[in-house]
Amino acid sequence: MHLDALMLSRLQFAFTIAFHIIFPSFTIGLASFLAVLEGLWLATRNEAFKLLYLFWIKIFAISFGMGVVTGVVMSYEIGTNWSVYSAAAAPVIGPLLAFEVLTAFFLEASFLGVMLFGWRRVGPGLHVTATVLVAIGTLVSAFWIVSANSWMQAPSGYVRLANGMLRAVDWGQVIFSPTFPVRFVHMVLAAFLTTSLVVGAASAWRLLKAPDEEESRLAMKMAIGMFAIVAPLQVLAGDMSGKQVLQFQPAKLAAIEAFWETRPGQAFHIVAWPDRAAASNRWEVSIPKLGSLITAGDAAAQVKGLKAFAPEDRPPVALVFWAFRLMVGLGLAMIGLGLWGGLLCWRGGLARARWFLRAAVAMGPAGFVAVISGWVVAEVGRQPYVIYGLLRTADAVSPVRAADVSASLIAFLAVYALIFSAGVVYILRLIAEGPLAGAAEAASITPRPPGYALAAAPDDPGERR
Amino acid sequence: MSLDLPLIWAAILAIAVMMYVMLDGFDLGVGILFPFTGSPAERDLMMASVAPVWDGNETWLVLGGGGLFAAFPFAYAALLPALYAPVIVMLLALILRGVAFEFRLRARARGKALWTAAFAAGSLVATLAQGLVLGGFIQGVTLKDGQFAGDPWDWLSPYSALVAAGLVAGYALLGAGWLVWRTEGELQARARRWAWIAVPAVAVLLAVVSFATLLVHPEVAARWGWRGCRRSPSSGWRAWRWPPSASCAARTAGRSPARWWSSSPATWAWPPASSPMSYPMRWTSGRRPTPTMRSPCCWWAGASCCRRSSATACGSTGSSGAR
Repeated sequence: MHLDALMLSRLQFAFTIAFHIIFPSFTIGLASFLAVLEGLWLATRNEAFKLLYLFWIKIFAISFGMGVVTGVVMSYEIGTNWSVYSAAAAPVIGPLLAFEVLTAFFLEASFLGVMLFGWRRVGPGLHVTATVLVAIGTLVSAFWIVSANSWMQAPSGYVRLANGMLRAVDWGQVIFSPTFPVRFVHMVLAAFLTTSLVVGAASAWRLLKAPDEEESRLAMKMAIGMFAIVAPLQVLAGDMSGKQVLQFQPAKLAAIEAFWETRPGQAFHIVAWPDRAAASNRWEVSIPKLGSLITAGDAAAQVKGLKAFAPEDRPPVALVFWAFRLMVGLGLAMIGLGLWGGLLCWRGGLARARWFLRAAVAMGPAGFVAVISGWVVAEVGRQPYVIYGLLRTADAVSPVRAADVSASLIAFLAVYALIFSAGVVYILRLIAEGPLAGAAEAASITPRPPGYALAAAPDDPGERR
Repeated sequence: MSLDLPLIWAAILAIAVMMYVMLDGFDLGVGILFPFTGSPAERDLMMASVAPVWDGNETWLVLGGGGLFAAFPFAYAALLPALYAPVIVMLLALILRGVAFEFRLRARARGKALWTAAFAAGSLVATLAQGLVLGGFIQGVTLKDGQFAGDPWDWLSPYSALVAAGLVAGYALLGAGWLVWRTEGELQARARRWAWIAVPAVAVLLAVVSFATLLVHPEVAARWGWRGCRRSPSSGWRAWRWPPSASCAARTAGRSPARWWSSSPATWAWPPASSPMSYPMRWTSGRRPTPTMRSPCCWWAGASCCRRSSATACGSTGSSGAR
């Protein structure tokens, strides 16, 4: 691997965006979870829902803050490192990102203040509205980002001008490019899965220590309900997405499955060692015909292999192949966890099923890993193009020096390592304390809810304590 | 349809920049003032006063970047690589100070000290970086075929350092003004003293930067009737940018001066987003621009009006942009 400005820019962008996606994929689901909790509390007046809300909003505040600051980076890094791409594609992609800022970010930013700081200052109606609007804001944000990314995967509704610039001619087709609807559903379900696994892991951790904690039992059941339903749906969405990859990005599909030859009745490789130089797999463990059946829906179907594409048009194979298997493997594990949990809920004794609780704790980070693997498949698999079929990544890079990019990459690695470890420590500390730790806080003299990030501030900023 | 979209978007981005400078200006300013406070309790109060709003304030920065990308992609693609180092430093500093809001509340003793320092240093460094970006932008950016073709250190000059110092003073004044407005008692009295220090600093730096801008861009000086200032660009403002260094002058002399620069009424606001103000002028440079004096808009701390009155002539006589 030659570390020139291009490769360093790719590494930097991959690192910063993979780091960033951790937080949205958690907060999209968590915002909706909080909206449900507050709604249920207002509907049933069950104090457990309120305690859970006030507990999870603390974790939401930390994660959302980290998502905001790592997200600001993205809107500038496109220009600092990919200026040729910016100049060519901005007339199409730019408005999608601008719409995201105008529709999602301002909605979120405006109501986040009410949500985090307004517990005692606004009525319950307005507060739950703020929570719901923040949840909607996170989903709108996902809508625009996945829309922009889907357009880059399968561009439609544009013309290419003589000077290489792209221009949108049909905004409907740009926003709803062919792969967008399925990919949006896939991403939102992934976010819900990620959140439910984290909620499940946190609750299971508490239940291992205090099996009688009512709040944790309730949260555990809600989490199981979520991933037991969503994990199988995600398989369907993923399968539909895969069929679209076959149609729109056959080279990516061939890399995902490590198909080299084009032939009918492709075998499914469970594991393989793809070798790009030799243009074959060094070894593989395969099931005959299954590859065609899974990818094309017909065991006899002819599916293109990588050799059908010129060597310079082939994506990296091993990374895509293994990232895909990691994602699918974790997805299957999530389904298993959902079935197990569903069975325990039905039979009873959930809170004392220690092996299940341990498994739920272990699966806590699975959603994040699966989300990042999925994005690795999507983004590495579409190489060597940044806009599929239109602009190669190598042609998109800024005129910056390798020295500058390596310095910034090292700085990003250092700063992100620091804030990530600190953020994880603080979140895990909160999770270890559990929702009841907040109850004591709520009962104390402070008029604040425990989720209050502003615990030290006076009620009115002008008021003296 | 005769919608003048570049103008409309220029106005939208000018508003985004103005909002960003005023709003994030005060919460960055609070961070700049952090080391000067009397007690940890006061620091908690200062931070708490901006905690509910910093996220919304920073959204204007994203609108500036996203809007510039959407509406003026050539400016976006030309400026950000040219200002690579200060932009990245700004982003990293904003990350460190942004996470400090939550982390400080969750940390124990040592961690809290770390995040207090991160908030203060991050705010100061982000402000300095924004000032360097702005100074580098006003100086101009070397382009070839619409892409940056200058030296990666072009943005660093005595002029941009002066602008950065001015921005620190301006944000500190905004922060002090916010604290005078939103707090009471001892902290408020302290903030009042900070404001009294910041006001003359802003005034002096405003004057110096305004004057320096005339030296950097003799065309602007000429427009204001300072005929004596007019020099050929190669000997004048370039020389001023690096007065003592002959090697630097030599370094820049050989370069083809496909320079795109501008100074518009908004250039004293935050730079990448203010560039659209000048960007449409690439096409209107044939028209004679009229110098306009902006009426000072009295923001409570007054710092932003300093910003607006400094570089007032929209001249692009010397350069009609990236040819």
